[in-house]
Amino acid sequence: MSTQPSRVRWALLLSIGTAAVIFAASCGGEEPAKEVATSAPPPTVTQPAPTTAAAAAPTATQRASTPTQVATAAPSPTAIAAPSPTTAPRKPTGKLRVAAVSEGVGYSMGAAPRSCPGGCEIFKYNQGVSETLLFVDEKSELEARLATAWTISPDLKFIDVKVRSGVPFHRGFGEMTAEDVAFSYNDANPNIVPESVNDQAGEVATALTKVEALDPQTARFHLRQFQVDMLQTLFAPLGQSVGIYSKKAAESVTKETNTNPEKIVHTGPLQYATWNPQEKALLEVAFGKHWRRTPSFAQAEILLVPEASIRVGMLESGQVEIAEALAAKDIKRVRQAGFAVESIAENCMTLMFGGNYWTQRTPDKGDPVVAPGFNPEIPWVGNPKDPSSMERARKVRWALAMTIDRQAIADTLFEGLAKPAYVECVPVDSKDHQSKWVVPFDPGKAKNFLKEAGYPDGFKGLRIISTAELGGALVANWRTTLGVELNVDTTPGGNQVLRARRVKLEVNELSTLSSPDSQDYPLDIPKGKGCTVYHYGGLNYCAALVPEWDQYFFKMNQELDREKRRQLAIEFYDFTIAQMLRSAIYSMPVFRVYDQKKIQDWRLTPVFQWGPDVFNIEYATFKP
Amino acid sequence: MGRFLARRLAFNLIAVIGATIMVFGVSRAAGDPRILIIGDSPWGMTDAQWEELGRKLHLDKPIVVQYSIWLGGVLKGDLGTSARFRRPVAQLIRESLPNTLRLALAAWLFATVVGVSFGVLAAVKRGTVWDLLARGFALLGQAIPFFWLGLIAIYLFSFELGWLPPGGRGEGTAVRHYILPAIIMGWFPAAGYLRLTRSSMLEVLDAEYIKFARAKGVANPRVIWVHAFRNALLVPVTYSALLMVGLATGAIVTETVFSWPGMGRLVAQAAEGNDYPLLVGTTLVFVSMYVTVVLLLDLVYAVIDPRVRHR
Repeated sequence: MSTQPSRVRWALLLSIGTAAVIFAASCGGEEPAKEVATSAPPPTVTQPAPTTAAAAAPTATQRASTPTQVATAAPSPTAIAAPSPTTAPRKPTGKLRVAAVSEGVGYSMGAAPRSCPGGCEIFKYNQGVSETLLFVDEKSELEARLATAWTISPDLKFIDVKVRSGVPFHRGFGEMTAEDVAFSYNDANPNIVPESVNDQAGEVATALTKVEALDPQTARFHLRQFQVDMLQTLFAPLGQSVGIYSKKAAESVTKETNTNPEKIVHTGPLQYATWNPQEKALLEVAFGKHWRRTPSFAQAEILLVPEASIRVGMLESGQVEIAEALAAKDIKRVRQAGFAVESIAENCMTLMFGGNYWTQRTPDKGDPVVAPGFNPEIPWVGNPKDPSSMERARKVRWALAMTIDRQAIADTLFEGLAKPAYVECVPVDSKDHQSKWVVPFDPGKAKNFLKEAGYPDGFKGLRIISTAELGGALVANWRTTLGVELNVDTTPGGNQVLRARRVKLEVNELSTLSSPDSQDYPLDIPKGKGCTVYHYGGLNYCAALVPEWDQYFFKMNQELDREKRRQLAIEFYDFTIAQMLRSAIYSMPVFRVYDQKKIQDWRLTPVFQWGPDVFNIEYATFKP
Repeated sequence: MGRFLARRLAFNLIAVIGATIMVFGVSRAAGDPRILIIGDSPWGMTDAQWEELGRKLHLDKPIVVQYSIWLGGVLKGDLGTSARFRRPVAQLIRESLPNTLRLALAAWLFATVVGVSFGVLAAVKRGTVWDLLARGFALLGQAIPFFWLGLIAIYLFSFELGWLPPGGRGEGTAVRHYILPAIIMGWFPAAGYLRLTRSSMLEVLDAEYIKFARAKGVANPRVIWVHAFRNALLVPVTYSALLMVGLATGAIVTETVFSWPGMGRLVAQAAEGNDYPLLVGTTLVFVSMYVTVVLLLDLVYAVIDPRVRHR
């Protein structure tokens, strides 16, 4: 009798058994997110709920004005108008859906300040979950949030902040007090909590020593170093800033519960219902009536969609109402299809000449600056002890900068959406831009400079860390025009190595990136923070330490007169261009894109340059 | 049988250990893991933090000791912490694997049903237009790059026709979200099934007992499905076991194109961000899946065919 049928039976049994096991396994894992009914009672509208008028969009690169003066005698609190509470014209209903890039969802979140990395902090207040002490409005002026007034001491040693009363935390964790404010900043501060991963931009650590609660409504910020723009960057979301946590909730967080959405307790109009960094975050309305803004939607679903083309598809097919970070080639398409496309920020991409570590000692304490990677043999690196080396390197930098066809790059790589840029980042069409800053595209003159510098046939064997498109465009031009042959390093790891080595000041490659100065416009914002010895111990974006930059930054930071700061900024740019220590290439808007048939209006305010496109989500008036 | 089992287990254990040595070695060869932990941080680390982190990661110990510590953690289920997500790798895998298995199951069903039935059709209608169409289907499935196919499918069925969603998993078991990725993922293996089934069926249809059955007057459908098909099924069914695990481990491109929150996309994100702890963890899981399935297959063969045990 043939044994084939029993073999077939065994094979069939194996297949069925395997399929059954796999089926059982696939039924495990995360439960699908359930619709969470808003349990809060309908909001009580105490005043006619104005539809937030779409204000004239602020200049994309404009940041809030810095204070013009500080009280020199008996300081009196500076109070600013509190925003009128706004409520959407009807009960929150429906689900607003967002297709976000990975940074919006697929990011490490944390329920305590010390365990919430910088990006986590930004996303929480941009997504309406946490709130900062201040905010910046459409006119780029400061707006009250959880703080209602502040007083800066005449000696610039501390700032007293009046904390708003009657603001509840999520999930019944009581009302916010100055203790919570103090806790939030202290727990984020690596000077106080060394293991804190919060302060990635280094702003808290460099600005604050500690925060203490003087009384339930007053928090005193003891300053390590006063900065003229710290109200914008440290208290409002134009820097990394800190959203205010419930001390009681955050202190109970353990390593295991750190990413539990129910442990993420703040004061914003929205709270996390579920959060899966692999897939999506589901936000729900936290209060029946929020003190500031009750959203128009009951839930917001932020989907992780890494592929730009899929985000476009989801928007066009109605699967989502908002799509983040679309490519330049898709912007025109969606605009023509009738979707709203609004510029929310401007990014400048800059060529950095890594390796010019000229600062010998820190200006405040005189500590020696150690730069193990300093190598004046690199063509664009000058030795400050040798004037001829400095001049040689300057000419090489100018030669490379003059061979960049900025207009062609802006036109061809970005579908005409970008503009040439020369200084980082004053838009060429702004009133502040000066013609003396324009770097001409002049390959002939560039070649002469290179010849005078001692490289008549160019040079090779070095690297530029950049994207394939931009790096390729730059290198191709340099090769054909100057005989300069550089390898383009496009690996993501290359960027990370660059970050690590910038801590150790070992970088002497070229690189293209968008530094913190990219958003420091208007002119009165201090220049060069990320490229000075001030940032030493953290990331040095330019991979250069220049004494003049340190001086300009410190001077601007302590100068309270706005017009004088503008003059210093102009001098800063004059110097930087003359030495060609870094050269902007193009500026490119950051857009937010949404379905305007479903979102009637959405408040547009200045946003942190590196923040997500989706912010002020609670102000989107949604028609389900 | 006992000796066979012991031998097989030993070989598989060697394979797994070899895999762990390789992934650990590659992760260390790629560079200092501290650089990965800095990741996107613009602040970087101070020298003191750098040294402390090195001690925490046991980088001050010899490489063999580092491997042993790491392996010990793996055996306890600790696959480390993702540098990008800052969450346990094991937890990330637990959340992603079921999504991949669901998609793999859907693709497997498509491949099996379409591939086997087309294979039978092609064999029975050999030399006709049906055979031509079926073989054309197989050729396209094996020739067209499926990432391109996926994008074209999204463009056609989502953008232009609006019939199906362009990506994502949807809520619960939303069937519409499975259709496109399952077809794209399953087309290539369906082509393989088709060819295997067709050649097996052709071989069986020429057998003497089939001719005898026809001569006895057995109805054609019964000849095909009861006599021929059952005997032709052994090879495709064997293929299906390996196919299932292949689909589960090879879904990287499909999951990326369709934004499917599974293991494939997790691996793509890990590779993109140089998240070596996550890459190592996912690789180990894939290797373990393969080794387990192969071991099971060997055991089943040994049971079915005694000659295998004595080789």
